[in-house]
Amino acid sequence: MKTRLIITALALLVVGTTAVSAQQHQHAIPAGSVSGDRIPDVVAYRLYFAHLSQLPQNLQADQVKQVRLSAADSATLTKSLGEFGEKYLSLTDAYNAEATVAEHNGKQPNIAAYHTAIAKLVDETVNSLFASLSTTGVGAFVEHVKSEKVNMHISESEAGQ
Amino acid sequence: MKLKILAVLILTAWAVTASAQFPNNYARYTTYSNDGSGNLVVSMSVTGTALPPLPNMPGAYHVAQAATIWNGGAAQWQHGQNVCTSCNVNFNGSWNFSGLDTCLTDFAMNCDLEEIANVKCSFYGTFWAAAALDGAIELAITTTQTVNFVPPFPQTPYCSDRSSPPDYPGIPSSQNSFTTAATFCHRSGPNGGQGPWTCLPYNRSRNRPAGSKPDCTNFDKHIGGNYF
Repeated sequence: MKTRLIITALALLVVGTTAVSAQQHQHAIPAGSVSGDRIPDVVAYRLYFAHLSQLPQNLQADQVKQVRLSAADSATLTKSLGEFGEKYLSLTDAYNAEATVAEHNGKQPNIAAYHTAIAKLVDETVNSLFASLSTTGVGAFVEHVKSEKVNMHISESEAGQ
Repeated sequence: MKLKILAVLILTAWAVTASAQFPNNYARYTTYSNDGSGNLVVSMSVTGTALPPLPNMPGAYHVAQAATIWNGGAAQWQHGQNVCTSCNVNFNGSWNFSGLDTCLTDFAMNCDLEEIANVKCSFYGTFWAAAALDGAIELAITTTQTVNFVPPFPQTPYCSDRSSPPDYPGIPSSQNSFTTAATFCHRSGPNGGQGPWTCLPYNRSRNRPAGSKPDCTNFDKHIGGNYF
C-alpha cells in the first residue's frame, strides 16, 4: 500500500514536471529565432557551405548563379562546395556512428571534437576559396553570404559566441 | 517489479527536468531557386547537435522536420532520418512550386509562404523550433532597357509598382530594345514579408522592339494582359 502511494506520488511529480518542462520547451522555442546580422560570419559560412553542398546539382547551380560571379569564379565556388560537402558528410557520419555507440554504452560522445573539426573545415574552405577567387569574386561572395543571413536562423547560444 | 517502476519514474522525473538545460547549436537555412524549368524550389536544411543528459534514454532518437504552408493550406511536412540524441540531425528537404500554380500565373497576386522547422525527440516531443518564417512570393513583370547602347542597362519595373520588387539583373537584353521578363520575387518578415525582395528569373521573357512597352492595364485587376 505504502509503495503504491509512493508510486502514485512520483507519477504525479513526473506529470507535473513534464508540464513545466513542456512550458520551458515552449519558452525555449525562440532559441532558434536569431537571424540576420546577429549571426556570426563563421556560422553563416558553415550553414551556407553545408546547405549548398547537399543541394541537387541544378539547384546548387542556380544558387551559385545568384552570387553573380564570373564563369571562372563560379567554377571555383562549385568545386569548393563539392570538396566541402564530401568532408562534411564524412565527418558527420563518423561522428554520428561514434555518438550512437557512445550512447549505447551509456556515455557521451566527444561532441567538442566534432564541432572543432567542422569549424576547422569551414575555416580551411573559406581561406582556400578567398585565395582562389578573383578580388571582385571575393567581394561578391562575402556580400552574398551576408545577405543570406536573413534566411538563416540559429540558436541564441551560438549567436552569443 | 515495483522497485523497477519506481526507478524508471525517478529517472524520468530527473531526465525531464534536465532536458531544458542541454545546449544545442541547431540552425535552419532556407534558399529559393529556379530549377531551370520555371519552377520555384524552396530548400530548407536543419543541422546541428544537442548534448542530452546522462544517463541516456535507451531507444530515444532525434529527428528534424520541416514544412511549408502555401497560402494557408495544409502543411507539407518532410522528415529527416531518426538519429541518436547526440547525433547531428542534418536534414535537407525541397518543395517544388510549379510555375503553373494558380498563385504564380495570377499575375500581381502575392502568395503567402510560411516555413516551419523543428527538431523532435522521441522522448520529449518538439524541443527546438526555428521561428516561423513568413514570406511573400510574387511573380513580377520587369523590363530591361538599353539606353544609348552603353551599359550598364537600367532596369525598371513596369507592372509591379505596387510592391516594387527589384528587377533581376541577369535577364539578357539586346541593344536598342526592351526585354520584358517575369521573375519570381520573394521576401521574408512578419505580415507577409517586410524585407527586401529577392528575384529569380522565370522562364518567360521576350525582347520587345524599341518603344514597345508591355500593357500593364489589367495587372492589378488580376487578369491577363499583353505582358510579354
